[in-house]
Amino acid sequence: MKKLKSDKRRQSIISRQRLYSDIHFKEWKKKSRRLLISVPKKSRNVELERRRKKLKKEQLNKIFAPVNFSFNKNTNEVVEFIRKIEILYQNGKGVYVDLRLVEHIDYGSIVSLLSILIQFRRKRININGNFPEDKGCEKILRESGFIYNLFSNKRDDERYCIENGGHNSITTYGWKKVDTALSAKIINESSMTIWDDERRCQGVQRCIGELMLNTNNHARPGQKGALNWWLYVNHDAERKIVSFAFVDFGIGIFESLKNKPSDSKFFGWLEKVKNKILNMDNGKILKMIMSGEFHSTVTGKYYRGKGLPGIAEAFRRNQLSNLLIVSNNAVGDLAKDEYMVIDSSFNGTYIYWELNEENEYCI
Amino acid sequence: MKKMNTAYREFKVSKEFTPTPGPRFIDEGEFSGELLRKNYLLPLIGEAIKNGVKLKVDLDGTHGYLTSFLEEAFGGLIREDRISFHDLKKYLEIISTEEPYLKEDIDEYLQEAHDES
Repeated sequence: MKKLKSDKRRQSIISRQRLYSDIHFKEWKKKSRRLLISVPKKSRNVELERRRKKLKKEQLNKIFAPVNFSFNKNTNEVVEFIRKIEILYQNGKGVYVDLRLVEHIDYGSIVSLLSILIQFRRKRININGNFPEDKGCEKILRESGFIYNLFSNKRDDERYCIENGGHNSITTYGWKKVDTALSAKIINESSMTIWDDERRCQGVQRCIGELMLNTNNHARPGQKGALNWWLYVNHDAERKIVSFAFVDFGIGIFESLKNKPSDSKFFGWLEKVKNKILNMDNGKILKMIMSGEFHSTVTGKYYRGKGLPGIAEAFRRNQLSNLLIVSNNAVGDLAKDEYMVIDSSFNGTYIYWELNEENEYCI
Repeated sequence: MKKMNTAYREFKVSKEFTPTPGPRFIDEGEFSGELLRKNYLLPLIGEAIKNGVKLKVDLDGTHGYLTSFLEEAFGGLIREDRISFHDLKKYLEIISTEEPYLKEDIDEYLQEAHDES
């Protein structure tokens, strides 16, 4: 009798393993509870078979991540990868994210992938994927808390705060409104990592706040608070560096400029600056935007550090380091003073920066 | 709101409003510039003008300001509440030792609001 029970149990485990053999992203779920709790014991095998067939029917489109899955170092390929996923999302098609060949990964890529896959979840479009074979990359991805929280059932207007403690602690935040109390808390915690002391860093506070506000106001034309912003914060206690990656999947800076309403001070901007930007690519225009020259040309007034120029100004004041911005097909690496265009276009805005011991005005 | 016996009134944002000033408008998040203007700055500056005393707004001690917060709080006094630019120049004083450039920024916002009104 005992043997029979044991055989049945083994059979059940094998069935479950077969069923989930290809669902790596979902392996964290409590399979037994989800699988069979509501199914009468007698019909469990039939139910398993039915679900197996259903899974086979799900046509997930496999998208391969680039080997160098780093938003900062391999922007073009990562943007292309994200764009392919986004096209599937727009067409309501499921995606299988194949990360097996990834040999290098960074938090910017992880937060971008997380934010786009959460959109699939919200629209109830199927997603799945696997982990990198490279153990280091797999560890980073697993420890990021990304996978386990991707499947958390949050309402559209709920906040995300995904924490993962440990030596290199990582936290992902997501919401729609401007939350300066949250950014103040993030900065306090960051300063503890860097200086072992709670400090206020007004440059970083402005940077996070302006980005939240940009997403709230401009990510979707004519609709306030329509889209989420995502902020990824990684504490490297050993190197005393805290890195931040901010992402939104709005329309991006250049598309936003095209859609300025008639009461905006930027309405009709092209006419005002066309002589200046003749033969200029978006990389060079991004440089003009970040320096404030674009604002002053369009409005005829000094920019006074508003919005994106304000973030660049915080960088120039050494309030933050290694500022990188990607929007549509433009990339600006302010630390290297390099602005360029890439082949692919990122439908949104990605901004990365770091806070370290060398930064000033943290009081 | 702190009353002083001397010929000025002082308002410290970090103590009397919030240490974490927020966005421009109330619907964008908590502790907005619009809220500061409507609930604090407008009655205070009105009283200061009426009594012929200065209003000193101390910006120090907060976690930092968004530009649109400051523009709405101060520029909005001219644009929305029709306080005269000259009265503001006469009766409003900004204190900002931690971020000295904010004084210049606010002057610019007042000037812009005045030019556009």
